[in-house]
Amino acid sequence: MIIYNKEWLHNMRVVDLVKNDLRQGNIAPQEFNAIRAAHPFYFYVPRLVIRVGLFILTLIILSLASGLLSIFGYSAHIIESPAYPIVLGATCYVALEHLVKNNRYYHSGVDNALLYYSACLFGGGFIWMIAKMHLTVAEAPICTAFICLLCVYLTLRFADTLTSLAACISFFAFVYFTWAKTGAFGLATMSFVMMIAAGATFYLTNRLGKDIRNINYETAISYAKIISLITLYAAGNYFVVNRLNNMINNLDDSHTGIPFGFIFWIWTMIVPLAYILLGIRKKSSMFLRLGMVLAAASMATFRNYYHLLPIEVMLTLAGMILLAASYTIIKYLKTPRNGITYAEPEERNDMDKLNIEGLIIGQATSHLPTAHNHPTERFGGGTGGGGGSSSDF
Amino acid sequence: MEQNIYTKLHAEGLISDASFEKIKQTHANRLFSVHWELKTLLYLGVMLLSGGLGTLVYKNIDTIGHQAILAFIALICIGCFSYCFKHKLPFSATKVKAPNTGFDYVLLLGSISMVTFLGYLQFKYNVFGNNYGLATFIPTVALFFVAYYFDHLGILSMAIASLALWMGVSVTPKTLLAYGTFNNKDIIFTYVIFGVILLAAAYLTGRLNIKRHFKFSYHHYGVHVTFIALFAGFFEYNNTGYSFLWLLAAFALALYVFMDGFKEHSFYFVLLSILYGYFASCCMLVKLVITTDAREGTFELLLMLFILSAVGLVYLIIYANKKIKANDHL
Repeated sequence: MIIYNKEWLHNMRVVDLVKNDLRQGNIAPQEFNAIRAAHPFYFYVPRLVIRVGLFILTLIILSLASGLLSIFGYSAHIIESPAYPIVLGATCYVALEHLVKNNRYYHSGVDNALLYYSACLFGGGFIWMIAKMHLTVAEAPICTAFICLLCVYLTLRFADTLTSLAACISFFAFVYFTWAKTGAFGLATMSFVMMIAAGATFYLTNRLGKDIRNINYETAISYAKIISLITLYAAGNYFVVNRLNNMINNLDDSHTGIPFGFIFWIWTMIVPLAYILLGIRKKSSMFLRLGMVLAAASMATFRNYYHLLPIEVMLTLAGMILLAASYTIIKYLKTPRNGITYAEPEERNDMDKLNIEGLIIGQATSHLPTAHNHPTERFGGGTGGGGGSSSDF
Repeated sequence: MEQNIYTKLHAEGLISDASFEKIKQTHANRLFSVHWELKTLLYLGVMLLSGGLGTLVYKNIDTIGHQAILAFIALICIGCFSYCFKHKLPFSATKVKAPNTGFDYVLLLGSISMVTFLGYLQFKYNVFGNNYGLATFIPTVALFFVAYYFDHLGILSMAIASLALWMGVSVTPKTLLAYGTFNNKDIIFTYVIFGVILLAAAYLTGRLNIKRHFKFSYHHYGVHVTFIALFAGFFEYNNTGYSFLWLLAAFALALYVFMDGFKEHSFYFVLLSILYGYFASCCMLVKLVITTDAREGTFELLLMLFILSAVGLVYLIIYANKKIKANDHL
C-alpha cells in the first residue's frame, strides 16, 4: 500500500537510530560508516529549511498554474463545474505519484505541497458537488465521510502526518453529524458518544502503533493518538459542552448551566491530571505535555465560570506557585529519581540550530522601549512589553 | 524493535562486542527527561508573575507612588546584575557557556528591568529632556556591552532592536510589516543604512572571529531589514527612472547572501536569498512588461513567466542543497 520502498524505509530507520549512538559515543565512526554502507537508501530528504523553501515554491507554482488554467477555462465555462477542481486534483495526484516514484522524494516539500494541494482540490470539488445536489438529509455526514476516507487512503499511501490528522478530525466530525441526525436523544447524549468515539479511536490507533508491521506509519499514528486524546478531553470539557448545548438549543451564552453539569466538571478536572500522571508513569512525553496544556485549558474553563479572585492576584499567585513548584522539582530531580531526570535530552533537532529562543526574545522585547516616542501615554513602558510578549504565545 | 535492530547489526558483525555492550548499557539506563517541560513551566511562571505584578502596580499606582516603583525596579536590576557578575565565567572571544540554568534568565530579567528603569525615568521625570537620541543610545550601548560581556544571544537581539530604535526605527520583521511605516523616504534610507550596518557587523564578526556565534543574529536581522527596505524603496520610487537601481541593489545583496550562505553551509540564508531574489525578479518582470506598454495577454504572459521562474528556482534549491551537502563532512 505504501508508495515508498519498504527496505529503504527500514534502512533509513536503522541509520537514524545509530546516528544517535554515534553522537553519544557508543559506536565508532568506522562502525557507523560500515552500517551506513550496508543499509543504503536513496530517498531525497533535504533538511528542514530546504523542505520549507521547496514547499512554499511548489505551492506558488501550483496556485499560479491553476490560476492560468482557470483563465483559459473561463471562456469555455469549464470552471463552473465541480468536475474542474477534481480533474485538477487528479492531475496533481498523478504528478505526485510520478515524482515520488521517479525522483524518490520522501517528504521533501515538493511532494508535501502536491499532496495537500490535490487533497484540497479533491475534497473541495466533492463538497461542491454535494452542495450542488441540494440534499436535505445527510449533506454533512456524506462530506465528512468522504474526506475521512480520502485522507485515510492518502495516509496509507504516503504516511503523511497532516493527512492523518485530517482523517481523524473528519472522522470525529462524521460521528458528530451522524449522531446529531438522531434528534433530541442524539443531542442529549452527544458528549458521551464523542467520548466513546475518541476513546475507541485512541485504543485502536494505540494497538496499531504497537504492531511492528505498522512501523512505517509511526509518526502518522502518534499524531492520530494526540488528536483522539484531545477530542476525548474536549468532549467532556464543561465549556465546550455548555457552548454546544447553547448553540443547539438556540440559547445565548448567558446560560451557564447544563444538565448533569457536575459530571462534566469532574471530567474537566480529572482528565488533564490523569494524562499527566499517565505521562509520568509511562514516561511518555506525549501524555505529559498534553496533560500540561489541557490543565491550562481547564484552568481557563474554571476561570470562565467562577471569578474567585481578581485577575492580577490570580496571575501573581499562579506565577509564584508555578515558579516554586518547578524550582522544587528541578532541585528534587538534580539526581535522577525513578528514571526521571532534569538533564537535557541527548537528541537534538534542526530547530535548536536556528537560535529560536534568541529570535523570540528579540520579537517579544522589541516593543519595550517605545515609551520614549509617546511621552503622553500613561505607563507605555510597562504595558508595551506585556503586549508584545503575549502576542507570541 | 530497537533491540532487534541492534541484535541484528551485532550478528552481522557491523557492531563490535564492546560497542554492543555500551549500547545495551545506555538503553538500560536511559532516563526520561522532563527538561523542556520544566523549563516551559519556569518561563511561564516568570511571565505570569511579572504580568500579574505589573497589573497590580498599575492598578495601585496612586497609593504606591512612582519613586517606590522606580526603586523597586532598580533593586531588581542591581540584584540581577550583581548575581551575574558574581557567577559569570571569564570572558572569552569564543562561546562561553552559562554557569547554570538560571543564569540566562536572571541576566535577561536584569536587562529588561534596566531598560524599563531608563524608560520609566525618561517618561516620568524627563531626565534626558527632549534628547531622545541620548535616551535610546545609552540602553543600546549598555545592552551591547551586556550581550558581549556575558555572551547572551537574546540580549544581543534586544540590543539590535534598541540600536534600530536609536536610528529611529523598530527592527523585528513583525513590526516592519505590521506598522507599514514606509510612507516616509527618510525612513527607507535609514532602514537601508541600518541593514547594511548589521550585514557589516555580521561580516566582521565572522572575519575577526569575535563571538562567532553572534553572526547568525546580525546576519538574520540584516538580511531581512535590508531586503524589505530595498523593496520599499523600489515601490516608493516606482514612477521614477531610478527604481531599477533598488532592484539591482536587491539582486546584488541576494548574490552576496547566496555566496555567503554557501560558504558558511547555511541553508537558511541560501533559501532566503533565493526567495527574496525571486520576489525581486518578479518585480522586475512586472515593471518591464508595464513599461513596454503591452495590453493583450499581459496577464497570461506574466503568470507563465512566474511559473517558469519558480520551477527554475526549485531546481536551483535542489542543486544548491546537493552542492552544500557534498561539502559537508559526515
